[in-house]
Amino acid sequence: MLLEIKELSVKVKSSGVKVVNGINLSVDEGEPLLILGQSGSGKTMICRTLFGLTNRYNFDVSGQIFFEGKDIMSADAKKRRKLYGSDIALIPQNPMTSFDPSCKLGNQLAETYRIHNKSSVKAAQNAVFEAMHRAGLEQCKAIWSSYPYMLSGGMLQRAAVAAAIINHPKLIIADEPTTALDAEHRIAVTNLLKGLCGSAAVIMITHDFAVADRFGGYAYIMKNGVFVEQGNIEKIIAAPENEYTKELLNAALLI
Amino acid sequence: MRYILTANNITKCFFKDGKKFNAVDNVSFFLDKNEFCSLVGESGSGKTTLVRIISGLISPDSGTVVCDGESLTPRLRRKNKVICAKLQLVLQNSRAALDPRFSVYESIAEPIKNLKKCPRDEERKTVEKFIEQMELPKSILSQRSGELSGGQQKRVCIARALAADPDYIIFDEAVSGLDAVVRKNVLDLLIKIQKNSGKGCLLITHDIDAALYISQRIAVMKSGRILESVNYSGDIKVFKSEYAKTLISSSSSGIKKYDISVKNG
Amino acid sequence: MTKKIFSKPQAVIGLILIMIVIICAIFAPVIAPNSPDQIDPSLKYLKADGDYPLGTDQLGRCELSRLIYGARYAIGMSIPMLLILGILGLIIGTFSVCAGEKMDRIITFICDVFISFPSLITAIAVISVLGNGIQNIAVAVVISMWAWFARTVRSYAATEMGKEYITAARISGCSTVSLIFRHLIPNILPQCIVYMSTGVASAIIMISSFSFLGLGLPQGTAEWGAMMNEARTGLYGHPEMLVYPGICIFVTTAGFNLFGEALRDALTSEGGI
Repeated sequence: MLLEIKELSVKVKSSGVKVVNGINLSVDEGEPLLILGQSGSGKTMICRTLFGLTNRYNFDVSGQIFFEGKDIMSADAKKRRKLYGSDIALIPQNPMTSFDPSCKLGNQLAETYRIHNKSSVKAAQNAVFEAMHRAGLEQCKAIWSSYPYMLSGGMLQRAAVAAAIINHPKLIIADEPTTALDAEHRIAVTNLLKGLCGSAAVIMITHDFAVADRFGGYAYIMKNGVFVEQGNIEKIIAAPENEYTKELLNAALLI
Repeated sequence: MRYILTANNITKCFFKDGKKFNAVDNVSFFLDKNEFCSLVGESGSGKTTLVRIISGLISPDSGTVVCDGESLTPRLRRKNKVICAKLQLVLQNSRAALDPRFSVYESIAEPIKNLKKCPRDEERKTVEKFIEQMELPKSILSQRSGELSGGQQKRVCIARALAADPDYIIFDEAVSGLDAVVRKNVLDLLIKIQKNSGKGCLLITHDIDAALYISQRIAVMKSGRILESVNYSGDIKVFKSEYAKTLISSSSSGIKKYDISVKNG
Repeated sequence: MTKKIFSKPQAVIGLILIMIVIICAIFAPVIAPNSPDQIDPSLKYLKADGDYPLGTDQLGRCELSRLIYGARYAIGMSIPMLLILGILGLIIGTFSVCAGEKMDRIITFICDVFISFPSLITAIAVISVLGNGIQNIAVAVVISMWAWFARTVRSYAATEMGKEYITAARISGCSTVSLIFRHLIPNILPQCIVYMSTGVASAIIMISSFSFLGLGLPQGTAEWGAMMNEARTGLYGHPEMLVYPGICIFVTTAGFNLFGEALRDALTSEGGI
C-alpha cells in the first residue's frame, strides 16, 4: 500500500461546512486512480490536504494520511518537505500560471532536482533533459532556455509533467491537468499520464468523463465531500449504480 | 427569395507582436430560419471574432454580412432598430454581461424599452412570460444579477435576447463554465426554445458534445477557417476532417458509443 | 455597504474629523467666542484666557475665532470646486471614451499637456493674469486640476466600456446617450466619488498655499494659509500662531483622506457596489 487516507475530513472554520467528509482511499504502487466530481465537490481539497496546503487558521483537518506506512499528517514540516517534489509530485491545473514567468524553464526544472539531490549544474541539466524526454518534449535545449510565455499551453503542461517526474516520484497527483488544454493536447497529456502508471502511481483528479475513460483505472465519484460510488471506471460508465452518478453521467455524456 | 442571414467571404485580421494574422480568413457562412446550427472550434480559432462580425458588432476587413436582404454594418445596426431586434447575441460571460446595478426585471426589459414602445403593464407581462419560459421563479425579478447562480444568469441573458423578439439568435459559448447538470438543462432549454419559436439559432462553442447534442448542422472551425460544414443527424461518421475526428475522440461523445455497445452487449 | 464602510476605524475617525470641520464652518458665528476681524492693537499677543481661548494674534484678533471662521473658507471653497471639477471630469472623461478613437487621442493629449505642468504653477500663472478674488482662485484651481479628473474618469470609463454588459446593452438596442446615462455613469460614479473625496484634501492645501503666498484672497482674511503667512512675522516670539492653522489644515485634509481611503477599500473589496 503506497498511500492510504483514513477518515479524512476538512472543515472550513468560518462557515462550518465540511468540504471533505470522512473519506477513505488507498492507492497501490504503480496504480492509476481517478477522482471524479463536479466543481465544488471537494476533490481539489483532498489534494491540497495531501500537500499540507490547508491553512490551519482557516481549516480544521482530521483523519490520517499514510504514505508508505508512515503518517505524514503528524510528521514535522521538515520531513514532509522532503517528500514533496521527490516522492510525491503534483501536476497543477493551469500550466500558464504555475511557472514563474520571470525565470527560464530550465532553471525552474533544475531547481526541483537540486533541492532534493546534491548535484552539479551539469548533472542537473542532464536530469532535466532526461525528464523532458520522458514527458515527450523534444528540442530540450530550446525549452531549457525559454521563458514560460514563449510556449503553448500543451508544451507547458508537458513541462509541468517533466518537473513532476524529474525526481522519479512514487506518487503523482494530477489536479485537473487537462482542463486548460485544447482537444489534441488533452488526449496527448492524458495518454502521457497513463503511460507514467507502472513506474509511479498516478492519481488523476478530473471532472471530464472522456479524460477519465481514456485514463482508465479505479475511480471514485465524489459529491459534496463524500465518495458516492467507487469501482472500475469502465464499469461505472457502463452501469452506474448510484443515483447521483447516473444523473451526472447522463448530463456529462448528454444522453 | 428566402430571407436568411449570410456572411460572404469574411476576412478580419489583427496585429499581434507586430505581425499581421488573419483571425477570420475568407469565411462564408449562413444561418437559416428554423434551424439549430453550431460553430465548433477551440479557443483562438477565430469563432468569437466571426460571431461579432456576423452579429454586426464589428466590421470585417473584407466581405459582407447580409441579413434578410440588407447589408449589415455596425452603423446600420445602431441606427436601425428593426435590424437590431432581428439579430440578437447572447454573450459568453453571462455574469459580466449583466449590468451589476440592474435588477433582473430591468435587464430583461431593456430591449423592450429600447426597441419596442409598449405600455408598462404589457412590458411587465412580456418579461414575466419570458421568465416563465426560462423556467425561472418570478421572485427572481427583483434580485440583482450578482445574487444569481451561473445557470440563472445564463437564463436571464437568454431571456433578454428573446425579449427583443429576434429572428436569429446567436449563443456565444452558451454552456461553457457551467456544471454538467446545469449545462444539460440549459441545452435542453435551448432546444425547446428553438422548436417552439422556429427562430434561427446558432451556437458557438468549443464543446463538441453540446454541438452534437443540440444541432442539425455543424461547422468546424480552425485557425480562422471553416474546415467543414456537415448536416448531422446522429451519425458521427459524417465528419471527414481529421481535426473534427480528434475533437470528437477527445470528448465524451467518443465514449458514448462505446458505452451503448457495452450496455447492449 | 454603509455598514461595511463604518466597520473600519479610519472611516469613523475621518468622518468625525470632517463633521467637526463642517460644523465649525456652518455654525461659526455661534461657536466663535469673538469676532474674527475685530482689530485691537492694545490686545496683541495675549496669552490664552477665558475670553480668548487660544490668545490673540499680532493685531489683537481672537485666534480661535479666526481658526473657526477659517473652516468656512476651506470647506466653502474646496467642496464646490470639487463638484465643478467632478462634473467637468465626468463630462470630458465619458465624452472622450464615447466620441471615437480620434477624439479620445486628442483629449488625452490635451490632458497630458496640462498634467505635465505642476498644478500649483499653472494656478499661480492663472491668478497673476486674472487678479485676486475668490472666484479667480476657483477658476485657477479648476484649470490646474481638471486634467487629472478627466484622465481618471476616462480610465474608469474605458475599463467599464470594455465590459460585456456594455456590449450586451448595445445588442439590446441602447443608443449611445442612454448607454452613457443608464449604464456607464451609474457604474463609474462610486469610483469617481472616492477620487473626489481624496481630491478635497489637495484642493484645501492648494487654496491654503495660495493665500500663504499672498495670492487670491484680500489681506487679513481669516483663512488658514493667510494666517500662517501673517504669523511668519512673529515666528520667533510666537511660533504657536503658525502651528494652530497648520494643525487645522492637517486635521481637515487627514479627515478627507482617511474617509476617502476607507471608501475606496470598501469599494474595491466588494468589486463595485
